[in-house]
Amino acid sequence: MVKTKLILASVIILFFSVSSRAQEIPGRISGNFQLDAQTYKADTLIGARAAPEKLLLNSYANIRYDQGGFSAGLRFEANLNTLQGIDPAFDGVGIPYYFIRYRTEDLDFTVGDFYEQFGSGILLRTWEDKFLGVDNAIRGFRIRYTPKPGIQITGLIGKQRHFWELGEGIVRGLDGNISLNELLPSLQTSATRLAFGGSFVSKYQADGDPLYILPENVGAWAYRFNLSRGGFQLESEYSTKINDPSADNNFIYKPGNAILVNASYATSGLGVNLSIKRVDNMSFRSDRNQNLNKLMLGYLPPNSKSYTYSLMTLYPYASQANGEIGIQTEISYRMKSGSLLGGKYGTQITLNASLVNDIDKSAINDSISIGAPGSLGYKSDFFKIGDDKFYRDINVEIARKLSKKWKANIIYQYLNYNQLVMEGKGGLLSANIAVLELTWKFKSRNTIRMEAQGLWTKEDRGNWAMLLAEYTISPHWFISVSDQYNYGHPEEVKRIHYLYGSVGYIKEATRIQLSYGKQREGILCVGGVCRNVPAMNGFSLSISSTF
Amino acid sequence: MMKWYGKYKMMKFTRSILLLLFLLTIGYACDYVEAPYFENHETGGEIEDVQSNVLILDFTGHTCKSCPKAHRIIHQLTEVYGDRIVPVAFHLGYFARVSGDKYSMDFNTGEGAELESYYNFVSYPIGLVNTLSKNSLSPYPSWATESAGILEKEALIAIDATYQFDQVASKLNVDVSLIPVGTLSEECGPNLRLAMYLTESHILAWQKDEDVTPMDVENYEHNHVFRKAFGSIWGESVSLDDVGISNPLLLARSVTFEDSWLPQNSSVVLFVYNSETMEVIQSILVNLEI
Repeated sequence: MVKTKLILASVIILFFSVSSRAQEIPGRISGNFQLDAQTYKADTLIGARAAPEKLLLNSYANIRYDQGGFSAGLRFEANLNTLQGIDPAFDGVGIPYYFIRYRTEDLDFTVGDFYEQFGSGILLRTWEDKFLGVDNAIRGFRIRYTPKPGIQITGLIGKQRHFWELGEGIVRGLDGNISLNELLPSLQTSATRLAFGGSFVSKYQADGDPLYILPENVGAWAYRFNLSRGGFQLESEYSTKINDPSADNNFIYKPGNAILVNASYATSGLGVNLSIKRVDNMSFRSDRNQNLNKLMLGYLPPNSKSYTYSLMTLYPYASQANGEIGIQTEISYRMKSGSLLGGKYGTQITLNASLVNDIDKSAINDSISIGAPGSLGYKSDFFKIGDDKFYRDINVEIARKLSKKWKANIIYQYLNYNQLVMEGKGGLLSANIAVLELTWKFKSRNTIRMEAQGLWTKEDRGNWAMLLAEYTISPHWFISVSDQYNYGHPEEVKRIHYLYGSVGYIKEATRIQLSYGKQREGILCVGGVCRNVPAMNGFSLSISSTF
Repeated sequence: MMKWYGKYKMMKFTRSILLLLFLLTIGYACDYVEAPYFENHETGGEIEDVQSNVLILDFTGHTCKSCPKAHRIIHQLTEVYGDRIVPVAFHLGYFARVSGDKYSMDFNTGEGAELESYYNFVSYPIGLVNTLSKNSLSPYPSWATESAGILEKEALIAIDATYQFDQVASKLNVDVSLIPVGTLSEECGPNLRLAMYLTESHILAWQKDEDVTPMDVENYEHNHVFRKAFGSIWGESVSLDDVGISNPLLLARSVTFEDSWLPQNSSVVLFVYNSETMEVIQSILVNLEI
């Protein structure tokens, strides 16, 4: 395997070198580079651990060559050693990603590693996120065929990346998309856009388990339908899979299903969005024994709003593949400039509500408890909502330009967060969160941004306050200082200031940032997928560039 | 004409590939399993040769709600394979912290902290099956499959141990004998290490368990809890050069009990591993009968 990798990498590198030397050969080399280094100082008060290596580093570079329909690329990674909080199985140096792709008008072949998504991704979404420690690229063969405009078929087979190796399971997938407006000439100019599609994904993993009889081939299907007209849009997908006992579902043999409906309407100044999701035993991985972010095949988008303000990210929602039913709605309205409420420059007001509960679950019979391993698990009424509250987020956001130099953003959020389900500790937590952000652009190139945030809760670590000031000298420099103060911690000794400072420089496509300070323990979520972030105390350096 | 013919051939080829993929996925890609879902294990059969046992290190904690799933897998395996499964439960890390009135029993050890720092665990429960390698951390559902493969192998080293417990000094003296019974690789020879741990079972204390209601279980039975290493957690170097059935390597080691540990519920775990590959070569479990 290693030998094959080296040969393929050498071929690609040789190809690049020949191509770049021979400038007359048309083609384009592009790529990007990222380096994140962190020093670790032990701090028992915040729970930060020292690293024996003193400095840890995650870095990678993508290089890609394109010429006509031909593309080839690779990614070099060096994690020496992996940053705390990311799985140390990523430790090492190597080329875990490489591919060759060839495209014609109707055909598209990829050999090597690739990322792919079928529909909304419930059945298949392979992706990469360095901050989450997720990379579940498929290594194998993919073919996309477009026999007619409006029809696209994709077939793939391969194994998923598992740190520096490949996962045990073999993934096979087939996906079809039909866009009626592209396919039928009579509908090409129609204001109503209609598309539908379907997917089938199957995984194979040998059964060597001496305790359970396990299905070696597990298949899953999905059907989707999208409709839009004017400002109205409707997207929906239903998926189902056969028995798939796994670590995620405690080895129950119940088939799974999930439904996702998203409707939106947008018109001048007004936007309305409504999404409904129901998931029942729909965790789907190419290795039944894995957990966390490893070897995920399916992706369950969260039914909650994502935030960037620090205290609003303290209790983020993570999608619950074993069962959840939720609704999210957002109404956004822009009050016109010059109006009584809109003020001189206009005002944007956004109302958002996310509500997620467990699905209804009842025992199959009197002798088998709900979710007992080696059973059908439970019965669930599709239209019934479970009693356990997972998440409530009701918030209002007002954004207003106060003058030519000042802008303000105010948010109030009421939160219910089932900490026991998300983190395995505590219970149902209630919190009130408020944020005030002011931006003062006092010169054409000089801006100061200030944040004041507060989080009030009687549970977990109690109340928090935060202040941030960021000074930007466009287009190159920025400097920021922040303090998160856990003034309400139940233990007095842990009422700590988390001071953090950063200075950064940006030039064209290169960004360098140096930071120092304490970072609190927490959870980082991107799109409903989360990981624990340990407390840290030390310097961090981040460099990124694209070319 | 040639261009058109080439394109026609390419389309035909593509269709064939897609059809093949379609057949592979739809036609052969679903195994429906009907109840009962458990394997049937016939009992009986004698072990004529010395067979490999399986050392399972379970990294766990009393406030880790998923950890009892791993405990149950070990229990199921010991039900089927008896003492050929050699478990050790290390309570360590965030979920082993002493907290509140309920989770006041401290299972933490200095050796556990050393392992936590070495392995950098990012999730629990997690374990090691017949290895100490950093790169071989294994989720609990894999333990049964991994164990099954190892249990079929013949052992390369036979370990035997006898003990004597000094009630007055609360001291356990263990005499160990090591004999190579298979062919050890050349590089294995200079890298052999013997590790010995004391474990205790049947400890009743609180444990979080997400599979029961309420989740906080008061009298949860904690088994195979690591108490102390005989010396270093990484064991000691041993050499099996010039050692055979007639002249086994004999070692005497001892460990002192703390007052709260019950000798009658304790066991000694002994294992030999290759310190270069970190692979465990053989392990045994000695349940103390005191």
